[in-house]
Amino acid sequence: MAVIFLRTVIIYAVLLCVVRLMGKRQIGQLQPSELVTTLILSQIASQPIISQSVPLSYGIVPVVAVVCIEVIASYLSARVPALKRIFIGKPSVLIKRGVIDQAELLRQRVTVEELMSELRGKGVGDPGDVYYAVMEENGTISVIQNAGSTPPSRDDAGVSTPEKGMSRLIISDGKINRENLSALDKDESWLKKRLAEAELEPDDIFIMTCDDSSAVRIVKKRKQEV
Amino acid sequence: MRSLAVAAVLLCVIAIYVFSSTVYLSGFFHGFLTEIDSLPESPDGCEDEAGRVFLEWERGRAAVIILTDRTEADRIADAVQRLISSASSGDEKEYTAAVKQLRYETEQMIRYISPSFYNVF
Repeated sequence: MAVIFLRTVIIYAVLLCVVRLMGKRQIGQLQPSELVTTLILSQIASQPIISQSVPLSYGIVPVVAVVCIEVIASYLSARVPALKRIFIGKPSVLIKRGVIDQAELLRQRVTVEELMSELRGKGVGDPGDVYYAVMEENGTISVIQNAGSTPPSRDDAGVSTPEKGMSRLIISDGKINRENLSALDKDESWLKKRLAEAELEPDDIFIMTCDDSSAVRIVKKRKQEV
Repeated sequence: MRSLAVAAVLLCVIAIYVFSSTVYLSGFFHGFLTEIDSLPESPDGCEDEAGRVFLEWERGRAAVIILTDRTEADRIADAVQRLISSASSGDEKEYTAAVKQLRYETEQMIRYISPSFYNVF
């Protein structure tokens, strides 16, 4: 058991190093430590399932250990910048004020074609329109366009728009969501009043939403045919 | 912060579980080895001693199966069975071979569970 535990810790460290060496491009959406955890978990969890001779503890102990290490590593990397650089890495600036950083592109093993493809995917046709293009720790490329290349906003046009905020589900399939109700600073007496105005009971409602401006939207339940 | 505390506590629990199970198994097998070493060299009238070895094995068998690879535990179980049959048959050659096999399998198990550099790497 101790051998299995020590091996789990060592394999985690080795895999993390390997994934960090692979570079951001290979990672996709996950952070390096998350990818390592995923790779290890899928393998060790299957061992006691496949082989009856392997005790269940040989699967449970490494799985719990890996998840705990991952939680501790992610907490430490959030707190200690030096550890974050080791566990996760740091973002790389590929385009700065319209100029492609060729050395950084080479360092990240990204070809110009791939960079152009990423830019096109974000609706940018010309690198000159990009103020910053940053390759994040998980391999995705974030693009910030030049102010002149972005469409004018309502603020730019001087049009005032009331904030609607986020619409929250108040009633779902006849059931009241009290958590969302209190998040909107409303109570059940407010809800009862609104329902009385609409001459409805909670059971009659399929969906009822409310946004920060107290705008309510109700979708009634379709009556079941008998 | 709460998830960190839970992870730290769980990791400590795992470390304690791993450490205590290794200590238990190591203690059990060293005791078992002492029992094997106390077996007489001749099979004549050694049924009691062989029976004691068998009982000692049965006492720890469940824990061994839970905490180690079952194939390793089965090898020791087979060796114990061979010892019992050779002790009752009185065949000295077979008895000596059975004791040797049981000793070898037990030593192998002690080596297998030990968190030594050789085992880890």
